[in-house]
Amino acid sequence: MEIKKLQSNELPMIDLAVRECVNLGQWLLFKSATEGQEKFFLRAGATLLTLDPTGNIVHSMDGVHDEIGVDEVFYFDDVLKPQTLSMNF
Amino acid sequence: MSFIGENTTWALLLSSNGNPESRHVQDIAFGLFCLENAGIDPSHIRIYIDGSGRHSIEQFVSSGSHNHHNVYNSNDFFADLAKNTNDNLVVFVTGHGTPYGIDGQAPISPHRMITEIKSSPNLKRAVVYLGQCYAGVFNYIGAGNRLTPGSAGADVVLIGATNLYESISVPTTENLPSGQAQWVANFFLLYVFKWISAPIDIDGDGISTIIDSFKFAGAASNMQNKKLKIDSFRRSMDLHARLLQAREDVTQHPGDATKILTVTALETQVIEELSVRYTHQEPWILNAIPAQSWQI
Repeated sequence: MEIKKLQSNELPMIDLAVRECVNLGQWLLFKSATEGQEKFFLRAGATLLTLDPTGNIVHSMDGVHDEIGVDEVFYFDDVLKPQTLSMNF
Repeated sequence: MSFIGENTTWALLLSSNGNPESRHVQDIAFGLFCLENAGIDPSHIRIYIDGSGRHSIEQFVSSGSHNHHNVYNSNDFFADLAKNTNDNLVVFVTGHGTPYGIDGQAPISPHRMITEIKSSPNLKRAVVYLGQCYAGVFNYIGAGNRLTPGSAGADVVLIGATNLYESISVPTTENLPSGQAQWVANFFLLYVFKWISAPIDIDGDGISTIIDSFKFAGAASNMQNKKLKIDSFRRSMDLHARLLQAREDVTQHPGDATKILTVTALETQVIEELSVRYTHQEPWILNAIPAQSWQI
């Protein structure tokens, strides 16, 4: 699995709040090798959204959908990310 | 004795009823990374994760290691126990928990876990780190051998992230072989894994033992918990204001899927912040005496 970084302007139709959820690890933004390189998927809780290359919502599905595998995971490089949990007291 | 130096099976267990959440699989991937980083032979590490999405599960696991690891099901964990040949077992449990035990097609009860470990052939010692919610239901059971020396079955140490409460997971950023991952991690387990990859002698007796792992992970997660709660209060005030505005936007633009998604995203963040703030976590250890001499 590859972990990749995006700039916010690469998906301009995604709101900051959504990008924050992605960066916090609460929602999962990914691409699937079997679904083509132009589509993004956003797992938002129990809902799986299909996004076009600008981040517009194309389709919404509920449920698991194992057939859509997670091959590339994306985070936003220009949005705050969580701090690493420190080992130091 | 030393777990890393001797015949030890290192088991990462994620049992679930249905597909597991990706954050729990990422806990496993991080655990795998830390165990290999500690010098543990990859062939001694066994990964057990339930769920039908095997490709995605294996992809997440692969982010934690350059080595190939087969991913088995939770039933295989018990099957492997029944044919064990090693002296030692260390188990890390993540995923969901209920007052009935570890989440699964059928919940894994405390009785089943302790009985099957103690029935495992050749096994002398076992440590089970329980990261799931309500791990305290595994407390106060017959884990040790001290009261009846020579009794059959392994001497078992149980360590729980929390007692009769939900356990806390928080966002973190950690380096993995595949890159920098960001996920909502079970932070007690995360600190256990970090301790194993770089053991610290917390109690100053000159050796790094299982009791040190408990003290370190417990103290670190409690310290982090306080900091998180303070930060959460500040963040949730800002989030609340943004949420009110976002809801107003939806009222003004009904049916706009992008604006509806924004509301959902803010509600998700608010719930996560409040969940951390209103959850108490208190780690515990059962059968502490052998844990004081068992070196990692």
